[in-house]
Amino acid sequence: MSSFRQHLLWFPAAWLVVLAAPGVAAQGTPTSPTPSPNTPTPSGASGAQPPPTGSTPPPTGSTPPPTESTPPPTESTPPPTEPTPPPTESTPSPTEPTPPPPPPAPIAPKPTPAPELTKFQVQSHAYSGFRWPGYTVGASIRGGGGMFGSSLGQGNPLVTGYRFVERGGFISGFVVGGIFYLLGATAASMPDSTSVSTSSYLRTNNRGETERVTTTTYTATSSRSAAEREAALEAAGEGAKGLIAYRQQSFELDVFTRKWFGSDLGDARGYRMNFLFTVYTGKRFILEGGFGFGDVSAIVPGKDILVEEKYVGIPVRFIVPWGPFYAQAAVDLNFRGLDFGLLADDEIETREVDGRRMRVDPVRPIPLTISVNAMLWRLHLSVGVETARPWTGQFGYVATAGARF
Amino acid sequence: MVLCTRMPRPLAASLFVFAALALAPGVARADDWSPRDESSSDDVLQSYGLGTNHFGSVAIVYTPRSVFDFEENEQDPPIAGTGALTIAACILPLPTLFGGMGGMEGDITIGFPLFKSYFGGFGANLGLVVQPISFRHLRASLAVGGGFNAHGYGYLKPRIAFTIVPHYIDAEATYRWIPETASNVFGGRTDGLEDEGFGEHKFRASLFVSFRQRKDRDDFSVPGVHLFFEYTRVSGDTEELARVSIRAGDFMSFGLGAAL
Repeated sequence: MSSFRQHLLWFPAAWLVVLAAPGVAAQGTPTSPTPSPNTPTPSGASGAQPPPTGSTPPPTGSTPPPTESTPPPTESTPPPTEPTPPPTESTPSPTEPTPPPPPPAPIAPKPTPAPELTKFQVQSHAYSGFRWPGYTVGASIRGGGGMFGSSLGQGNPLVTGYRFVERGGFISGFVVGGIFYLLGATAASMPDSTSVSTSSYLRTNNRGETERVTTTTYTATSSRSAAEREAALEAAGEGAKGLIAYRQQSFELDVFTRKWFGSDLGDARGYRMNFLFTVYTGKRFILEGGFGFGDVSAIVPGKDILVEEKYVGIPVRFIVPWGPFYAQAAVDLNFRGLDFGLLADDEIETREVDGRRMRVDPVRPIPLTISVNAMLWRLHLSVGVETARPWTGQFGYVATAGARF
Repeated sequence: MVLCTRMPRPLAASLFVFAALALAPGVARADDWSPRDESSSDDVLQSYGLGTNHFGSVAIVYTPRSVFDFEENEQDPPIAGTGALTIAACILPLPTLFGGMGGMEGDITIGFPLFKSYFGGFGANLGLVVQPISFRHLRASLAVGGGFNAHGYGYLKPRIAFTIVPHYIDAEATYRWIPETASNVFGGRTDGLEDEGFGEHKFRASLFVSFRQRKDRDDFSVPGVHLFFEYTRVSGDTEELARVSIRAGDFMSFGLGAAL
């Protein structure tokens, strides 16, 4: 975004500079027949090329000698060159003056290097925060009908907790890589095909009774060689190592408590964790996805309602960094909520909490959270809105504050 | 409004700490002390998370008067001690954007008696470690993790470690806090918001003694000695605690082992 702003500023400024340049005014439009002073002209009969002047006459075929009024060539114009002697005259006569060596080509001025960021600027840059290992330890607060809002429309809990975020670390790779390795090891050790066959026959037992004997045969066939299985296991191990070594990952852990900083402010208890990996990095945005799960129970204040939230799914993050800030749209695709409540048990469950019999409100939300974050040196702040049931007009807020290490 | 009326002192103190952290003057940042530059040859040693010079420990622990045999006598139970073998490791391989280090810690404990004992049985925990102060001879870190033995739990563990005699003697102090709200007793009452488990405050002081300076980071030919003392305060429901043969109270443990 900053470079875009630079373009916005430089574009009109560049046009003003170009239009104000005197040479440009004399040149007219590009369709003008007047050649540009820097336009190389064809060599004349003498073979020499006149030095360009501010007001170059149109080419006449005969080149006038340079006069005193002709300004010397500038660095931006090519210097006149002497005709190249014929190859037969490899050794010039001592009476003839040796042609001066051609001056070196003008050196184009180097582009001004971008100012080097100070350490403080790097540490306060959101993109650096995504790409460099770092930890954030802080607190979070959620209210209204957001992620943990009740579906009964009789109020919503205030969810308070602590938040731990690792970026550029290895927790997500360690966990997901371990799962991958287990799956790979299982696949490597599994048979390639299985079959089940059943046969039966009748026989007469000792008491003269006829009985049916049924035999079920399970067959597992392994067609892969031991070397192939070893290779599959090794590939699983390498994949797990790759995930652990992948630096573009993050881990989010939220622990919710009713005794937030020793208070009785919160209404919820539970946890939520997400293991995320960068799946795509565009010029202006970052897309992350992964795996997560959580379990939260919350009491609706003043009501005998216990919101019971459960989550197992795929978190998706769309992140747009901008200097020390970044905007984030987050969707936690909850597998347990994909039925949108259609498969929920119709029976109302009750549970005794704090000595009161409460109605359990099972929710399996797929929340959308849009937030604005700031990474200001060691401080990470965010504020956002979220909803799990936008069609009901139920929205909530979320705010976090954390220290970065 | 709710925040104003119900904001307790710890919350206000936390907000103050946050503000102080954010508004700290540039001098306090000290151009961000660069522990990695302080002794670059010891970079890898800085990734060791036990004391200031070690990454692993194997030790035996004895906790006197920590097993109450309520089955023998419910009112006046015979009391015995617990012995345990514990293996611990902590690695901090990641230098962070702010000059700290990050990594993991974990330990495995096998205690005797193996069953129905708070300090006994098989237990393990795993945690994430952030070490914001990461000088060669002074470390301060915070671990967040979870584990299990007589209960499943989450914990918070700040740590400070410092060198007493460079390369030979270093010390470490940790405080592990398991909130009752972060504990779940296996086989206990039906889990719910009010169903809190066991709480634990464990202070641990360790001394690491090496008899030879490490030649390089891979020199483990002479392991050091790890001496430690633990002071543990256990709390929780009396009946639930009795199920794991313990009473709420304070317990002391003594450990001796080898440190790598």
